Amino acid sequence: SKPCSLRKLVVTVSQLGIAFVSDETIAFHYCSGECDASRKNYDFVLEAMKKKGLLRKNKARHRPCCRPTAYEEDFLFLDNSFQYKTIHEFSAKACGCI
Amino acid sequence: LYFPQRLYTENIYVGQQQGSPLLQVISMREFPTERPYFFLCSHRDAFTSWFHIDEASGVLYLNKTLEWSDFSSLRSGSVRSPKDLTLKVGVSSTPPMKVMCTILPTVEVKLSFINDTAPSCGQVELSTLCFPEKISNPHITENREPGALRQLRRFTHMSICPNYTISYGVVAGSSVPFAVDDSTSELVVTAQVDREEKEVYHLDIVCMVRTERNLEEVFRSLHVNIYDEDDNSPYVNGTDTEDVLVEFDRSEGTVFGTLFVYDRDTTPVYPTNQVQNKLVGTLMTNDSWIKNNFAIEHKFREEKAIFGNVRGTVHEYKLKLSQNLSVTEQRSFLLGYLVNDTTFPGPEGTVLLHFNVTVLPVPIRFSNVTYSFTVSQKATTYSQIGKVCVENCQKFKGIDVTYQLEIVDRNITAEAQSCYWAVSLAQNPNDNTGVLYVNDTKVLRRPECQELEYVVIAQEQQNKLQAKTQLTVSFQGEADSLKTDEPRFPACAEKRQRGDCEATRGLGAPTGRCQWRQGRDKGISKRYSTCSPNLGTCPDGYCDAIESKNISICPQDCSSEAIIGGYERDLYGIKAGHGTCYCFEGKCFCER
Amino acid sequence: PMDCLRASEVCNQNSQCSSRFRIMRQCLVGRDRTTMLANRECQAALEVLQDSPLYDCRCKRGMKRELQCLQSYWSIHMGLNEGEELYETSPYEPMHLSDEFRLASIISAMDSASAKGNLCFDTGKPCNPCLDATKACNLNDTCKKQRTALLATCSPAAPISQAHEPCNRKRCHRGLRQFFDRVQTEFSYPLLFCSCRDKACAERRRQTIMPACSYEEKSKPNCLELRRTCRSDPLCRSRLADFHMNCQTTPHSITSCPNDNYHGCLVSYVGLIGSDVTPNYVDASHTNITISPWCGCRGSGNHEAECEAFLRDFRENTCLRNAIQAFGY
Ligand SMILES: [Ca+2]
Ligand SMILES: [Ca+2]
Ligand SMILES: [Ca+2]
Ligand SMILES: [Ca+2]
Repeated sequence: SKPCSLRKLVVTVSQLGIAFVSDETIAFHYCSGECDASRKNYDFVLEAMKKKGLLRKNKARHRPCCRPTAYEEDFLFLDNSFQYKTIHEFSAKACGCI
Repeated sequence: LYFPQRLYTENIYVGQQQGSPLLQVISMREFPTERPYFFLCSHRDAFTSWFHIDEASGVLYLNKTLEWSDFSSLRSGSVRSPKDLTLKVGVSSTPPMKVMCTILPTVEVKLSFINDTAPSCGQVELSTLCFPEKISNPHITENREPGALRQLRRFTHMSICPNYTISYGVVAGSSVPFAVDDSTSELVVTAQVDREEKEVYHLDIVCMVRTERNLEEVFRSLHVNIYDEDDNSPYVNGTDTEDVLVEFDRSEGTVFGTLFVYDRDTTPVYPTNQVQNKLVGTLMTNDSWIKNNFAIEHKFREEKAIFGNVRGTVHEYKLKLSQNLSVTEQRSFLLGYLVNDTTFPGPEGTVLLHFNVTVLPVPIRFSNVTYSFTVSQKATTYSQIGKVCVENCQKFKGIDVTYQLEIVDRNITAEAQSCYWAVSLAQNPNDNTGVLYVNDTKVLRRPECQELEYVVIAQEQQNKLQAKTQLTVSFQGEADSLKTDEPRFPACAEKRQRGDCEATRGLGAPTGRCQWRQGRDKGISKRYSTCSPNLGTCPDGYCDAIESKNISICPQDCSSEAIIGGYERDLYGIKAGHGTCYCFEGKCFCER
Repeated sequence: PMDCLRASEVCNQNSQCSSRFRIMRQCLVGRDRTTMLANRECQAALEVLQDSPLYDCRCKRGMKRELQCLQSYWSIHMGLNEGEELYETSPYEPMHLSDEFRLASIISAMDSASAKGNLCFDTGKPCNPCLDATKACNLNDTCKKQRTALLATCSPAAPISQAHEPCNRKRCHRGLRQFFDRVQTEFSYPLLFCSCRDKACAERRRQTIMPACSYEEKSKPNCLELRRTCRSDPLCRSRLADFHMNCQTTPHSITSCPNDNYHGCLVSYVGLIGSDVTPNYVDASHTNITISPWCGCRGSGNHEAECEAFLRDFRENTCLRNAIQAFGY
């Protein structure tokens, strides 16, 4: 599988699923991919602790996640009832393993 | 003298002969004794010497025969034909001097020089012989001398078909004060006209051409606009007096009453320095108190329907407070306002308006002799107990009242005094009320603290007028036995589910429990679902005096941070949200 | 002709010309034309300048230092023109033929877009070319960025810093000028001139320029007053003169446009957006396009006919209407 990177999906604003209803089409950028290459000693130590049972019932992750490190600027659009609306930080601009 | 037209246009051609007439500029008289002297104003351009104007008749003639080389000698912005030559013609009622061009009326003559010879008789249409391609509409001023306003004959085209006879006439259904002078082919206005009677005359001009074979007619419509002058005095329709009562609203800028003044003349807003028919008003008083506290607000607009479908002016006068009036002020007076139409020539150009003003004092007092509130023992910190308010306080504008809470008997032990920490008062900034709230829940559980008596003192800020009333707060029911020593109450707004919400003992909850509001609308709605300490006050779109004391009480109304999800923001808080809205500290989220 | 920046440089190299040019500019500072014309020194300056390259210089749309160029132009022509006339000569060079080829490419781009857009009939929804134009813009980096910036500039001020102003009109106008300067016409024109078959589309088209901020106001000023405000600003004055020159309905052409140049009319129309006489669609009618600046003729006094003529050049402009309709097809 591919390493963590920025992917693109063209959707309508309505398809974003967060209340806004508009037929305007936009590119939604998201982060996806492998992060194994970015594992640190931290991850190995944590994994070992969990295996030894030193950390019980703990959800701490011992694997980096592919997440946005920056978001695109605000997006403004005209919704289907002809009001201009703004969405902040909904589309990734850059990704990283964190 | 004035020009009944702003612009004259005509075509000129190569080969046109020296001494041939091009067009006739006409000016109209303001007084019967005037006679016009015409002269050319522009001398900047070299081509000016090609023309001269007859001083008495206003006919513009060619000084030279136009050559092909004349066309190419012209500088012009456009390379193509035609090239426009612009001349200015001035008119004076005395034999003129050149320097007068800047102060006397002038008119523009635009000659389109076509890089070709004039068409021959077979080439031209009859309408071209009769009328210029673009016909501009003339205007005449009301109440002026009758006389010629336009030369209908097209001089430059007269020699094209020398065998034709051309004459003109006015076709009019009803009688109009316009006719054609057959001897000169001039369109003439036969009588003085009144703009307030008719603003535009729509004329049809007929051109009759007798050719070798037959008589043909060509029609052209012409709209003669009547220009206005200030010849009507302003008047009131009905009342010239308005009763004004100043009571609870006494803030600066408040307007009272409206009086209307009508004027059948137009009041131009363009150009701004135009003074015609602008009304000037004067307050008819020497009383400096009135002058300092009241002013007149004047607006005007154009109306047509009420003036018989001719444009006239409606003026609106309102009385306006120039500063906040003190609550102690009491007086009544008749205020006159003189409106003067300064450009109206007669002595009747004024109207006197009256405002019959009564200023009543506003007493600062409590209508409730005593206030008595009951609070649940379970109430948490910042729970609202009730509001105190002086008589009519909701109607106050420009009156500032503050409230204070005091202990009735100060000569009690410190131990007993500490009971009174249970309740505090906060000032709601905009509506002149004081809000009581639970300040300290620890003392509530002490048996001696179950019934508390206070004095509420209201103070009006400008004159420091005071009012007092008694206040009793009693605590009832049983205290929550569980977790009695809870140091901090959680925020209701954090809860995202009904069950969880209603089981929570949250900050600012008068019943001790959070309340759930269930929204039903789809999309972004003002009725979003949310958990609140008190549905009566939160969310209600207003961050009140109590809520603003701690962001966790009602972040839905008080948050100033960015909101995530589908929402509409307000100055503070969530105006509308999508699905359920919940908040951590001041940060809110809305989601389905 | 020479551009007016170059022409003023040439003039400045000649001591007589440069001194007259300086006098001329001083003459115009007072802005009172009649006193200026009466002044002998100003007159003499004007006469000398008529033989200089400044007399028939022109400017290019979107050129570097366009504003300075226009200022040079008007410093001569304000003296020549009589000020209160209906139409003034445009300081801009006439549109070139190559521009018209660009128009052809925009139209063909639109055609292919609407060919793709025709798919919308399959979805059962009405076809909306204005929405298609928005999609195209959102998927183009520059257009999306500029549009987002424009909408943000023209939106009501962030509620936190709420003054009583609903939005900053001046900034919005600047934003609009920037938007149309920076975005390729392939993307911007379809947003503004999309051809609509229903109300939803026409409303979207009307809203393109954020009319709540850039267009509508509480009161409607008088059109002649508005024109005067416009003429006191070199850029607005130039754009208005250009609009009159390129969009004037003329009986001498098939399309009603000067030289049958639709593109010229649309370009000069766009040039007015973001000026004091910003025009827009007055409603969301898709059958009957009416365009007007935000002004009326009430209070025109004796100048009413002139005011109505000014308004007619927008509201009943066959050339402009034909040009817009032709754009979408
Ligand atoms: Ca009259
Ligand atoms: Ca009158
Ligand atoms: Ca009057
Ligand atoms: Ca509230």
